Amino acid sequence: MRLGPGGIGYSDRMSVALDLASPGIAVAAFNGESDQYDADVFRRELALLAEPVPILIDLTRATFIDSTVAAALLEALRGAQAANVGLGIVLPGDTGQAVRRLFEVTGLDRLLPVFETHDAALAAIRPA
Amino acid sequence: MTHNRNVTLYVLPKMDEPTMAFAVHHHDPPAIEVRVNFGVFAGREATHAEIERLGAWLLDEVGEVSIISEQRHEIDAKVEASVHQIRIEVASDRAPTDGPGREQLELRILERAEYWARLCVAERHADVAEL
Repeated sequence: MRLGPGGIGYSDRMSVALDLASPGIAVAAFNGESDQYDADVFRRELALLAEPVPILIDLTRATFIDSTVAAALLEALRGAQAANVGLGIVLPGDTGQAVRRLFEVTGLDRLLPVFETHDAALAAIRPA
Repeated sequence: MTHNRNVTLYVLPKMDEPTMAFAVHHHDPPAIEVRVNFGVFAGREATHAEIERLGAWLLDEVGEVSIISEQRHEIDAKVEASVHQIRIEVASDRAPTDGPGREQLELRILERAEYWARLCVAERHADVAEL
């Protein structure tokens, strides 16, 4: 675990950092293959945030996710809803069809807010 | 089969030898299908004993039921997603023919499956999800 640009820890495969380009937004990125280990890192890093802030979860560079990551995303959504902050998942159409299909199969597509682009997700979760 | 870096030679099965992979061209859709997102909430696969317990509970409601425990992999050129699900299927000839009767049976199966899944998670989970 190392410190990310926002002062929050990250591993090689999973990172959570405060987005310096978008103040007040926490950006979590899953890279490569992500499983229970990365899901746990994600939970721990979210728990370290000093206060509830909107969360952008970037799956653009994810090449594998499993049930435990899906569970962590669902938990993050519940936490965001409870704290009344936004949460958006970036899943570009040209890279994430398999994940979208998994969301459809599990019904998570009706719960998790998925966006094609980083900018679209930011626009949706940024406080008015 | 011989195998080296450059050549792979497969010996095709003889005509009367059963193949392991086969195509299914006809499949009657089940009258009722219920899915349980077991992996997402339990962080593990359902055990054989848990599936047997689910089956015993469902047999109170329906005479015959199929329970499929599957690790589903959705794969495209760049991303793979994997999830463990339990599917409960009731064939057409085992479900009520009238719409309301079928809906009531589906609701009862849903209730039992939900209770079963929550019990499984409460008894043993992988510290992944608290319901």
